[in-house]
Amino acid sequence: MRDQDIALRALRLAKSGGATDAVSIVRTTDLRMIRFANNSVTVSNGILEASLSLFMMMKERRASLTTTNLSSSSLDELIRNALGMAKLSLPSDVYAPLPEGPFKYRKELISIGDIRLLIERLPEAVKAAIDSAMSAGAQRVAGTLIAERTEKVLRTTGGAEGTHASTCYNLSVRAFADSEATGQFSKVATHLTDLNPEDVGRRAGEIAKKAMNPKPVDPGRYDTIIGPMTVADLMEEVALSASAFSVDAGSSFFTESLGKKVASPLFSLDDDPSDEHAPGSARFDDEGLPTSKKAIIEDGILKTYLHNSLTAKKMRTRSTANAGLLRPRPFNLEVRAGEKSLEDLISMVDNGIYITNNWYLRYQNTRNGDFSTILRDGLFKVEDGKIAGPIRGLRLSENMLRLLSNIKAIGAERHWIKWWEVETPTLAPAMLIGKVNFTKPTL
Amino acid sequence: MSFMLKNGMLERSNLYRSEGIAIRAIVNGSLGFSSTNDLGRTSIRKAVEIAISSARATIGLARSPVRLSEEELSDGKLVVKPRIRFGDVGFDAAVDLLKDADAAVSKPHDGRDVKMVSRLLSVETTQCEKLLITSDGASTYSSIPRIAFDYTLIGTHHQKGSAMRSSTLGESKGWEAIERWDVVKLMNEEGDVMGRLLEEGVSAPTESVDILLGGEVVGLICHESSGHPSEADRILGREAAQAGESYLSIDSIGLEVGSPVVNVVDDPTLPGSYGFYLYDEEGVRARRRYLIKEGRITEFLNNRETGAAIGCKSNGSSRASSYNREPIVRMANTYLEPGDMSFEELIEDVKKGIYIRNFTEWNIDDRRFNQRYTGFEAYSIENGELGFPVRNPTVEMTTIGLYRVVDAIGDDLRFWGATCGKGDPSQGIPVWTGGPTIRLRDVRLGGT
Repeated sequence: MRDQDIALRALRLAKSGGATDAVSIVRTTDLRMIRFANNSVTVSNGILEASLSLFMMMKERRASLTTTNLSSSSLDELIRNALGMAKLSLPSDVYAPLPEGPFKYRKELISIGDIRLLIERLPEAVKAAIDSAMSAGAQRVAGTLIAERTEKVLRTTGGAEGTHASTCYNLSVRAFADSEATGQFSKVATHLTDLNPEDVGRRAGEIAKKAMNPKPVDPGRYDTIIGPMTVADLMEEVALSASAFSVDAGSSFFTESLGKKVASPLFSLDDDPSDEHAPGSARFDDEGLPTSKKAIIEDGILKTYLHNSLTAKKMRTRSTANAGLLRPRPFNLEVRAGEKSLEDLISMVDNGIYITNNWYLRYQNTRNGDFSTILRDGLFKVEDGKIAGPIRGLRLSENMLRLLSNIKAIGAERHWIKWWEVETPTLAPAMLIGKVNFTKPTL
Repeated sequence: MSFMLKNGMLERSNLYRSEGIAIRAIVNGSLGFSSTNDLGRTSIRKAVEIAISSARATIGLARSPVRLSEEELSDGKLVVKPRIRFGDVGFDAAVDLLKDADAAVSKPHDGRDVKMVSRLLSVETTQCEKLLITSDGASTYSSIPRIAFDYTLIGTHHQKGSAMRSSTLGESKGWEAIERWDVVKLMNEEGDVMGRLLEEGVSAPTESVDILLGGEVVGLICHESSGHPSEADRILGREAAQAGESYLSIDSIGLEVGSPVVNVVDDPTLPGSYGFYLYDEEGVRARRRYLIKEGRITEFLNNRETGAAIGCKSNGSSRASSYNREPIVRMANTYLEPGDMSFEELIEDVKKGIYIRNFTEWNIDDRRFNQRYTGFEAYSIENGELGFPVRNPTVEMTTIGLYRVVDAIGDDLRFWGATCGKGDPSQGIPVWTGGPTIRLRDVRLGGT
């Protein structure tokens, strides 16, 4: 069966089984990945996948299913079982009917990126990234190049009908100047010609070379320049907390913050699914609503939570068309650019730190925003407006709301970041944040 | 299937059925992997072509040819049957049990002014079937059920702020595991702890003290700073751009990293464990591995690829989360071996200390050397007696710094479930982390 026929059949089975509302999505993916380490390709992956996701409501009762077995007999059985679960389930506190279509979606977004994956050109892109990092000072290079083509068919009982296809290329390079001096950079693009593997490799190599022979530094509070890789990671956390799911669960550090100041007035963050050059763009959300650009935070004020129909009804507002099947989520996060170059940001600091990357961000408490994250790759001391040299061993131990409030300046140059630690494509600049807290091991 | 209660309401109930085939091929030292969910002959043929053609396309860039170690490969079958199948419980009865657990944690506890404002309780049950055939003779079949109970709780006090607690229990069992865990009693206890912690908790001391770490913290420490750095693919640099490398090198066997009482084991063969298996994804029979014995590095976790690269045998560590993920080196059930001291014996000669029973925040660097664990349920110790609750005591230490100050091990070994993330595309696999209570001498708490 064709994807449209599978989606339609699942919807009919849901309705005939008693569902008042249903969303049927068939997603087909061709993912190619070349992984490399020690300047050598370690494995080439090719993952072909088609799946059906079906979300059903019987008024206040709901159930969902996801399957990669698309045979008629398996679908019949699964849908019957899921409907049985919905009938037996406890009613939710809210029933929000699916949005009533039909809807018009932007034609420019029917197909984003290359029409087909340029698989045959991936090895040369990997070679270019490795060679560039080595030329910039790396002794060895590791990384991942991903090329992914996704096609999506959506049908809803609300009359929404949509198709969407997108191509995404994602390169992440980690360069080693020695075993502990590392630099990492990434880029995500909709066209292979925009990926520029030489630039990604060069940036990683340059950071690694500068990170050689790091010195210990005292923990404490420092004015800090945070590079785009770490800004992207922080923005994903901001968006997660802005999801109405988190707010409704009581687990968000933005609880009861709508319309209030949550960040420096210099800071604005948008979610823009309608940018045809952005890797996460989509014509419709998972309820079939046409997507649109929205400010999550504007001039430091929390403008909206990210909603689907259910959370919107609960909070007496309109959906922002950010439905995922289970919870609202962003498509493309974009930090609005400032006016400072990286050199300008560094020149503003007398005694501070420059972070290029981090990982393992974990919360002590998501509701108040206390967290810590390990800093990795190039980490530098800044003195008298200049990079004084590499340092090591620090952990950023902070509070999300305090970080957002202490933003002092924002960079003009932005980069599309997506890598192992950052799932949502994010257009991120560097930032200067005042008095950031750092800790280190006591033994 | 999985279902989740959010603040007492059924937020999600989801059925998940996934099936497909994975192909792994080596062409002149270049490794290709492919998968498809379509089990038709044409699709499988295409997947094979992709595995071979993609490996062939990168032969020139595969400067370190992939080889597999010679092994005695398995021809076996493992079928684990749940004693109580989820289908026999009834979905409504299962949800009712979670409702009772939610009511137990959200009710007022000892009249305290603490509200449990965020409660996410979820159950996931799976049945995983795998059939493995390799060109060099392995042929194995396994069918293993798994069940997990996962919870995240946030409590607030109008003057003392808020606190968060998360944990997971998991086993390769059926619904009988949920019944044995007594999740209603567990949530009642968590509610009691949250109430007392928020109302009576005081700040952690800043001077050096003795520290007792509970088994839940010890299990996480063993997983993060003993299990991960022992993964040979990390040591060889294969995960360098993602999960990172290791503070250990291939020459580290025999290296002293802890006190002589420290023995860390990874054992996939524990019946009923969340990380249970008997045949790995390359057809190698699973076995118990000593990662650290009497304080010294003893063995790495190897698959056939790393075994051949290092010049040793695989010890059955190859795992994949699903057919659509490449099998790589993974842990199974990682734990600190118990000693023979009771909790009372561990605490009796501690003049001033902290007992950290479990944790909230944690993280570790990508070489697995700089780690941090912030306690959730924690108490002061004064002259051998437990005292008042302490909020957010943080152990922030290097791996060797931590393992070397362990001076005593309790006899109270327990296990917790976890999903370990690694690989690219990322893959989460079920594991147990476990440990008894341990004692660290003369440590300054960190985190400020």
